[in-house]
Amino acid sequence: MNAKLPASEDPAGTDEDERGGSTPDRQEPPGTYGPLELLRMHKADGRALIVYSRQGESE
Amino acid sequence: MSELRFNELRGEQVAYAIHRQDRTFLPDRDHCPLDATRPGGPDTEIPLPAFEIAVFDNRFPAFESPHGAAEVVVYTDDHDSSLGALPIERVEALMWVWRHRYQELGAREDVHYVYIFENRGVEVGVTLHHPHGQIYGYPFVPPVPALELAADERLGGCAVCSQLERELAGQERLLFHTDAVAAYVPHAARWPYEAHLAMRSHRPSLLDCDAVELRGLAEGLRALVRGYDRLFERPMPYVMAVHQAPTTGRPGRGHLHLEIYPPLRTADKLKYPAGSEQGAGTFISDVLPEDAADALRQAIQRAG
Repeated sequence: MNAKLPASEDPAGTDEDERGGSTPDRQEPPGTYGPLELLRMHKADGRALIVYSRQGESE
Repeated sequence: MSELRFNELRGEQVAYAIHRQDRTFLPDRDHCPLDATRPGGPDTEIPLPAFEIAVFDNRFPAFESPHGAAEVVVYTDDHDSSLGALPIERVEALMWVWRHRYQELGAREDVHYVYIFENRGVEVGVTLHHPHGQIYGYPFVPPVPALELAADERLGGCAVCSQLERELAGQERLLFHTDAVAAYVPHAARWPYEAHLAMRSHRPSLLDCDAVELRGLAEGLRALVRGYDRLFERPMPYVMAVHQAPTTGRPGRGHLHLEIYPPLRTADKLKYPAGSEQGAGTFISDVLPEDAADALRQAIQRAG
């Protein structure tokens, strides 16, 4: 009865190389986030962090 | 871990998150946890020297897996900026971030409603001044969105589409409209200067919007919040609520729109939800929506 949204093209938690200490997990290709690139990281306490930036730009 | 209890008299859930009592409260300028981490400076939530938009799990979550989610969305690494002061490209990027979080959180079995919101100003309880919003993934459909869905059933069609048609036809409460969005003070606004920003086409969620519509949403949102800051010539405190389709149940329900509730009724007077509002559930407003719309239209024009 309860239909869920389809999973994102870049489902969370699938990293094979997850490391602690705010280490970047991977740079992902653009998907449902349009003109953005995203970088998934994990903080030292295990919490997820995603940093988004426009493709080809960085501050 | 939070605990949900059902309030039988109100017919609603109450979340107890007692660990939030110890959350960071109005830290001084040099110890903002939402700043970038400066070389030699204190650690922050974002361990990078600069960033554009960052999203992370709330350190003091009201909801957490496997019973929901709580995320923080930091709009910029500029501590002193605001949503209205950001370049349009950044606000547009924020729409894509919202869209991505909606999809990713909405795909989780324990998230039935993805609620994006921003609290701005100490008047609405902000504990960090750095420009940011939040996302709650509720493990149920909360009462306000549920009431909107019930209105659809009652009216036999989309309630927001109906409201939009009325405001576009009447014009007296209309603030502005573009091909993508329309902004208006609703006929029965609860807050003195409440405004809604709705997609012109029936779009249940951010996922149903194309790139042009997301750009239009960003432009509309930016124009509205900039206008708010000109209304009383001070940063306008507000609660901004993004309402869209639940992520469980029958698809296609809901109509993406933003509701903004500023608590001010004048430049220096707050509208308090007090006896009638809290105890009886009936808002008493000091400002007619038509007068509020007139003042807001002028403020938006002044903001350019």
